[in-house]
Amino acid sequence: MYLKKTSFKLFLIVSVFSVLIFFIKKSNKPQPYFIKANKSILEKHSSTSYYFIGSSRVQKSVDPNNIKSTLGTQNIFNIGISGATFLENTILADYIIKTPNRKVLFIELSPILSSFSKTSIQFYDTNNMTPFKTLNLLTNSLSLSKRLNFNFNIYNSYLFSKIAIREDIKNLINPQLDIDNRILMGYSPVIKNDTKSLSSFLTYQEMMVTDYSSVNFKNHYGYIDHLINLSKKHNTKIVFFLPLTYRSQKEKNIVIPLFRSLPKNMKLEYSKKFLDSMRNPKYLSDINHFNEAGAQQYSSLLFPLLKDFLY
Amino acid sequence: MASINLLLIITYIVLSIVLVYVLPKKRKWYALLCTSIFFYYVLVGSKILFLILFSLIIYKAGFFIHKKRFRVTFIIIGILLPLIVSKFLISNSHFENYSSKHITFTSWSTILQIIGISYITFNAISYLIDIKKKFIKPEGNFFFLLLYLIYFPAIFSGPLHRFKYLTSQFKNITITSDSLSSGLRLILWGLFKNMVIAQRIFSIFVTLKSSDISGAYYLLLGLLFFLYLYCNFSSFIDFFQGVSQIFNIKLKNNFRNRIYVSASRQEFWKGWHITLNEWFRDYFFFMLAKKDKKRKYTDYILLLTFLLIALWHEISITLLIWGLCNASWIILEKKVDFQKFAYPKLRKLGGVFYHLFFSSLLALIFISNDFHSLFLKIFFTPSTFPIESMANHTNNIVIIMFSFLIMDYHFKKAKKERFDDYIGSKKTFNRWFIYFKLTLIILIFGATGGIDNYYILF
Repeated sequence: MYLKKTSFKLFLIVSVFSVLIFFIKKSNKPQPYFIKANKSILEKHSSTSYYFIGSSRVQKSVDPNNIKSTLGTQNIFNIGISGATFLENTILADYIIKTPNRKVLFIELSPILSSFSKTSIQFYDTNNMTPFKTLNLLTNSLSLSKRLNFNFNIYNSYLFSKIAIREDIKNLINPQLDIDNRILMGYSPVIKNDTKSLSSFLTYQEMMVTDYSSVNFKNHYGYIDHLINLSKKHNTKIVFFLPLTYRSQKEKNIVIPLFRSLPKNMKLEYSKKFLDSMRNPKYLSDINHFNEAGAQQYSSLLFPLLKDFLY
Repeated sequence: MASINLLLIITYIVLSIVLVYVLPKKRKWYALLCTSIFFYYVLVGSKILFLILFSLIIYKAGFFIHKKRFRVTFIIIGILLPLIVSKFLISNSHFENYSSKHITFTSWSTILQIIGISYITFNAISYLIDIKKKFIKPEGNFFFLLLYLIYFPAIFSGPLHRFKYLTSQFKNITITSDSLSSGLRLILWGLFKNMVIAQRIFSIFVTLKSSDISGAYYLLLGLLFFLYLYCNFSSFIDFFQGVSQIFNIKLKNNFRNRIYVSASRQEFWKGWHITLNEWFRDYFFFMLAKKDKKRKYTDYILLLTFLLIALWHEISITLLIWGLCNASWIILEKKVDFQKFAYPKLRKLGGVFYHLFFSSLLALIFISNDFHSLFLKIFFTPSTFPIESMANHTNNIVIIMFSFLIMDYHFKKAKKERFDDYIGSKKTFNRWFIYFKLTLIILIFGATGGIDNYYILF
């Protein structure tokens, strides 16, 4: 009897908070940059489209207008997502590949984390995307325990993003705040320069490391194979590239050897001159991201590299 | 940051509740054994087979020791081997591993790098020594011993328990209104401390650590890490005490309330990671101290104990220095009687600042890769504070301070009581006000959807 009473109280408190969360979430409108990004994907283009997929590092460093002016084509899109890792990059690439346009996807290499970023989930929800179908395909080859663990983490991040109301309350209090200050998808330049450190930059010496016997790329290769197979059926070229800044050495230890192991026709290779030209703290907004000056420099330097992958 | 995700724990709780209800009273512990094995398997995969084999060896060793067929010392050295080898296999410093564990944590490659190996080893040694001392008899049912060794709510980082303490409760598993309420209160408290305070402190800490901060300001990093470690570890214990409490299994307290306002190192160590310190006291310090009948070498034994604790964290010179500093600090404090000082209130206040200052310094040593460069960074580099980097953290700082005050207020009111007992003694309106307040704060300010613990790495 008493246990029933306690269970009822628990049910009551969960219900009250569920209703509260439901109304707070419902009162918020989807952010326009998610709709704009999806529009660029779904719209029919007569010529080849070029997409840059990745994290906030891509968001802050690739200026489509700069590349448009040098490349002479209009269909260049930065669809970097704040917080996205290689799993989300793959899911987004899978989604774009299946659209009918002729396209080239430039995909940032990063570690695979077993969670979805809040921004990715918002993008999926705004545009009625179903990431779990692709997720199932990608995790098929994992052992049972790893798959369970991975899925628990993914669904947990998904569930938590549904009940966390911080961003929604912020938007309710000041609807302009998010639009003006924190664009979470697509090119969003920043002016500031908060660091003098060079430690986060990728160097040519690091790119030349050949010993990567201790790194296991099985999962990455699984994702890459999935994209290659899909791209063959859908008139798409896949090109991988490395971010130029890193928050941790461990990330470098994973992605650099992975990048080196890929065939030449599938990657954007930076020369020593390229990396040296970018290696300047005045181009950074913080240790991990470029500011506007950095984005302009990077986008201009990218042009000669992109030429090899034009349709 | 990688963490134990809440969905996994919720599934564990729901499945365990269902199984506990279904099974008859005498067999209810099987429910917790099954769920412990299953969820541990989800986290560690096939490595669980190694742990089951390890438990089987402990099971057999218990009988051998009881029949005096083997010397307990040899068996204990054998049991310690996997833990020692696993410590040698970790190539980076624990802090480096922790900071990047979201990238590499799941790829611990060798069979000995398993979550909970320290917990199992310490509990196994405690079980065998207690048999040797004739405090307990060897357990006849292997599965019962297995549950003691891999009990899911405790396996990540304790608290450590003696066999008798925990298993006597396994025989009385039941879910009551009180156990459910107490458990949920502790879970709520743990989530609040972990998701709102600890994870936010860590985000400021990471920003500062990767900035150009130096000189005297560098000590601020140590203070942040000290507070982070307390909130992070103690909240994790609160949370799993709550999970366990649902089944009427009371896990021991591992931290004293308001440990951060300790006025001396001795006071601090009495309330920090209590069960681990008790373990080292009972199974190492006292065993050596017993042989030192004239009490000539007490300080040396204390030093040795701290060095062992340090090496358990990580086998490195920096951690040895950390252990040495801790032991020396306590030994020095023992020579000075703080109680003699006049003005007790002033003594307490001064003591808090004195302890926080040196604790910050020790925290920096604890997470440092290189003692020499740390020394240069604090004492021989001009003081710089990266105001620009901190500009993005203004909201974070306000939230942390506000939440820390709430935590401290409740601890002050609770005195020595555990949070669930303290809340339980409040009137209905106050109780529900606290539930709503904490839930709302977690929903609005909770940093991630998981509960994190630095000590899982050890």
